[in-house]
Amino acid sequence: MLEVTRKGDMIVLGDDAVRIEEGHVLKTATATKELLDNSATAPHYQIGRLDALGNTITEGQEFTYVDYGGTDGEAPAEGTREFKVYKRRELTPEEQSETKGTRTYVFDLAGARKGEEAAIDLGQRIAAGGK
Amino acid sequence: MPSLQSRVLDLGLNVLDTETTHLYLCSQEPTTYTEATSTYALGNNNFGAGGAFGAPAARAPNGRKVSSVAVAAGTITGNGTAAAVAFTDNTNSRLHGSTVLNATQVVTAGNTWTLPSFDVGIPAQ
Repeated sequence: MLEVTRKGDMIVLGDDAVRIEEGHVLKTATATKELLDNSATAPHYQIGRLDALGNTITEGQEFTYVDYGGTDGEAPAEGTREFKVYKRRELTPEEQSETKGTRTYVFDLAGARKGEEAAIDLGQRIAAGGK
Repeated sequence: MPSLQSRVLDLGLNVLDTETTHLYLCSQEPTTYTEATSTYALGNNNFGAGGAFGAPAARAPNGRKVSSVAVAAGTITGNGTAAAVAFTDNTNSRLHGSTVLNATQVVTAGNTWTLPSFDVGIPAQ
């Protein structure tokens, strides 16, 4: 079991082998007037603008959004959050070459859990080579 | 809904003014510090604490805002398509916020990037 420490808002396992952070949930759904309303999703999600992945939002087609919740209306939707688990991966020489030597590693999203303890358990399993 | 006076709003915006150190160009909207600075990072500009945003000022039609300092020659660290910009406190490993770009932009490592100033505001009510 790796040592669990905290750095800012982040939970770190071992020597920065795995990181855990709480953040809003990324969701994919059909773009409807109801879902794009500011009572349901953030105001920047609008038809013709970019979604969270950088794709243009088109009515009736799938789009991806960060679930911050709504901002307007009598009962705006509540946003959802989760604990996200990231695993450190050393870049291959080819990948390092692509970054012009500016980066030697990256943290890949490896999973997520609703609770902090469950996320730490997942992080320990991932650090040990499991899933 | 209650209204909020400038002192209350400024105490929040002061975090951007005094603690934000970097702007990161990202391939998608980040939800955590790690995503902004590593998982989805394509480039960054290090302003140093206190250098990324100005002091809080009046916001129209109400509330308060801070304005970012324009990026003149940020560093591109990866190849990909930029879709968002994040503002982070790298001293304390915190994501302060993010904004989606008006349009995507293909970027190549080793090049530089620019970004005009943008506002981050909090309404008073």
